[in-house]
Amino acid sequence: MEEFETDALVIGAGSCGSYIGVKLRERGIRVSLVEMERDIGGLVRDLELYKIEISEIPKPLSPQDYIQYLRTRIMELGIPLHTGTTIIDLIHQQSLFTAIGVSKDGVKKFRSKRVIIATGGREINQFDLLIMGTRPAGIFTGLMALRLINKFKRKIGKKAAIYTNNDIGLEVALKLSDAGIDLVNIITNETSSHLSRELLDMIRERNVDVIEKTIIIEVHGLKRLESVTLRNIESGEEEKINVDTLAISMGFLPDINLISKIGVKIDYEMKSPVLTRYLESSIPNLFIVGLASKAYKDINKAINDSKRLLLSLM
Amino acid sequence: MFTEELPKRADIVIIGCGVVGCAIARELSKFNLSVVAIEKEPDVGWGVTKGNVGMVHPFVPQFGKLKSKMVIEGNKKFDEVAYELDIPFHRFGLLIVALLFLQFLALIFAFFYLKLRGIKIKWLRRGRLRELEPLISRKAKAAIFVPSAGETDPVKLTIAYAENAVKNGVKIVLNTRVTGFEIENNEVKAVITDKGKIETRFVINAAGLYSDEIEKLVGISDRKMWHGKGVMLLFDPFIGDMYHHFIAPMPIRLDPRTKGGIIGLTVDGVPIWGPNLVEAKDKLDVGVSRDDIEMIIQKFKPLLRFFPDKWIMKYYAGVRPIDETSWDFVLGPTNIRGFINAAYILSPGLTASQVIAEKIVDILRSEGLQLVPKEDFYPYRKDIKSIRGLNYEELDKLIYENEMYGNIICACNQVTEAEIREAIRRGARTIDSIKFRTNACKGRCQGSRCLHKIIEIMADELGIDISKITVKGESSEIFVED
Ligand SMILES: Cc1cc2nc3c(=O)[nH]c(=O)nc-3n(C[C@H](O)[C@H](O)[C@H](O)COP(=O)(O)OP(=O)(O)OC[C@H]3O[C@@H](n4cnc5c(N)ncnc54)[C@H](O)[C@@H]3O)c2cc1C
Repeated sequence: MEEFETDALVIGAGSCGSYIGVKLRERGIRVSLVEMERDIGGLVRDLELYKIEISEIPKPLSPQDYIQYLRTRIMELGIPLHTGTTIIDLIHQQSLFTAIGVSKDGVKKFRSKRVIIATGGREINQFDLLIMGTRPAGIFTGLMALRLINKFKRKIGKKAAIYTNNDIGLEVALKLSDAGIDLVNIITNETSSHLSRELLDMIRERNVDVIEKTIIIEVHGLKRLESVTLRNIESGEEEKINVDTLAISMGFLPDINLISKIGVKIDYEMKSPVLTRYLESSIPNLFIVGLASKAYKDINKAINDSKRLLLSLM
Repeated sequence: MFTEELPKRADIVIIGCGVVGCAIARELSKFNLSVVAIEKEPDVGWGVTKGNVGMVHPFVPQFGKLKSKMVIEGNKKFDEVAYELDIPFHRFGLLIVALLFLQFLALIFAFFYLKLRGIKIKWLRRGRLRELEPLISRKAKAAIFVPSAGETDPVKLTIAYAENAVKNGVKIVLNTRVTGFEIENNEVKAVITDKGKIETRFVINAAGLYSDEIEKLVGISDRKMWHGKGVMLLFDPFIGDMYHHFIAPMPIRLDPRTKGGIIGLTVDGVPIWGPNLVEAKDKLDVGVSRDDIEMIIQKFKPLLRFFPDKWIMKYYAGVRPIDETSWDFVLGPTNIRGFINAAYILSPGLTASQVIAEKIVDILRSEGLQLVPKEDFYPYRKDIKSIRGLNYEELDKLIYENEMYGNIICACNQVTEAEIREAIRRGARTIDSIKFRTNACKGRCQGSRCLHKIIEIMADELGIDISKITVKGESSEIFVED
């Protein structure tokens, strides 16, 4: 069992965790990064059109460029990075944290005075949205749909609808369409004014309707999805559309796997940890940033909010 | 582990590999017989068994029925079954609670009634009840405590019965549907399936929801099946410590149709509420509606002072096969010689499965089947080794021996690559089969972070193209081809 020691342990090297790790190191704090995947980047790894906008970087970056920037900075600053390592437990004793990591090299123990949890979010799914009906194949969360297409280079269906309230959903829609899947509708519970003009234009060019102010209430099909029932939230009118694929991209909820285990106070209404303005949790010196800290629709906002942590550690 | 090739003949053919069919298969594997169990789905336990709460009931209120006798016996036997087959089982205990004065009166009556029936119970006054369940409603007046009520994992139990049966020589044939019979002089000669014919003298009808259709195939039509749908609600395991027992409101009227559902915990610590009982449109009606969810929340929420019911993680429905006239199990020989029913097994069929299996063996004996005990019957089966519950030294050693134990695939439930590969070696051929065996995709993210990894491991382990990978068998492929 290998043991490591640091002053600030960042758990999760996604778009927020890596960023915070770099910023802390730049301010002279000894940090280590732990990531369960083989590479850093987290949820944005599969995005291309999405633009990362951070105040100190002058122009918006593509996710790939942003990840490359982080990778370079982690190397330049010599930040220890443990990929392929999943933290399964976090113990708090006498103002010292011990995090237990599992990797192919065995169990790793990390000791640190401070811990920053940046384990990201999970995409809101069919059940979070109380979509009724059956549980057939063909219903994916948006980023999983994208990952399957990117990774396996195959079609995940013939006719798809996208349920979204954000630009990530629009990108998922375009990628599905690029992969040769017949895009039937974009369904949004809001108006399209929240969504990127540019992406919307690209979608409309492909003759795809954006149905506004409409929710999905039910899915049908036993083995594979056959249709979904929509309801207009103003008129109450219902409509059934025939699709074999539904990608749900309705934002994120914090990943509470780790934080629920160690007794961090969680807000039952918000489904998020209770945090101070500086993102410190109910356990002193345990911070939670990014999509792990609250329900976000958008990743940029999560990255920019995570900077509040730096104010407290200065 | 399992096969798709149908043998030419067998001493006994079991139709259906639900918890009942698999329990019978294992029980029969104790004797020198050739036993074949046939299942239409790509895995065992996907019928009524899948849509189950997993409660090992202490009793059912309608005494005098076969099911009431068998459930009590089944409950007693469960420790042994769980030990031999290495399946999760906890006796959480059941609290039947009175909130209203009328319920309180009924509770007193129920207490003496159950005592008379010899059920081990305890009367709990309000103070003691609150000690046991601090979040119980302030209105709670008293409760009956039934310590023997337990919880298991219904599909894992079925898989365990099946694995142990196979180990002892039973053939389990999947993806094969029984479509007819050869009958001569009112006697079974052969079973016909979509994969060919198998000769046999004895057939056990353990087809669950389809046991009426199997009866019709041999010309029996004296029963009518009522389809009773039940919806279950699962909540985030984060709120799994809000209560520690099964809790049920004291029913004021004893509805003969149902025990009325409970609030409970799964063996993985996930709060589970339900089921309700509504008439299903047909056998395939497993859709969940808002009404179902509201019905369940309205019924159970008043039992607790506080419960964040927004944290719904999942919901699903099961359909119970109910013999409309008896509301009881249908067990025994029929007027077709060799055709034996283990049919219409409604709740609490899971709890009673072992007892049903033993009863079927007795019936076969009295029907003239020679039963010679097998000397080398091996009653034990080990579950897939998981990393949950290991201490760090043990875990480190395990990873040293097999580095795939160091690759966590499902972060919600901490399921490793090693477990997923072992599940496939034990016969899992679909995403759902892996889910039921390992708990991967069963956590709060419902597979939205690990599906791609599971697909990759399956394709690699089975040496197949990803286009062949399905969620739940044929027609549920994840990828489509042009
Ligand atoms: C909502 C709900 C909750 C429940 N909760 C509990 C509980 O908490 N405790 C408890 O003890 N019991 C409970 N039960 C009851 C329990 O689930 C059933 O009694 C039990 O699972 C019945 O098992 P079975 O093997 O008879 O049926 P099944 O599991 O349906 O098995 C029959 C099998 O036969 C196969 N089959 C059908 N037709 C054919 C054919 N033609 N050819 C080949 N194969 C065929 C099917 O695919 C199926 O796999 C519950 C039931 C429901 C619906």
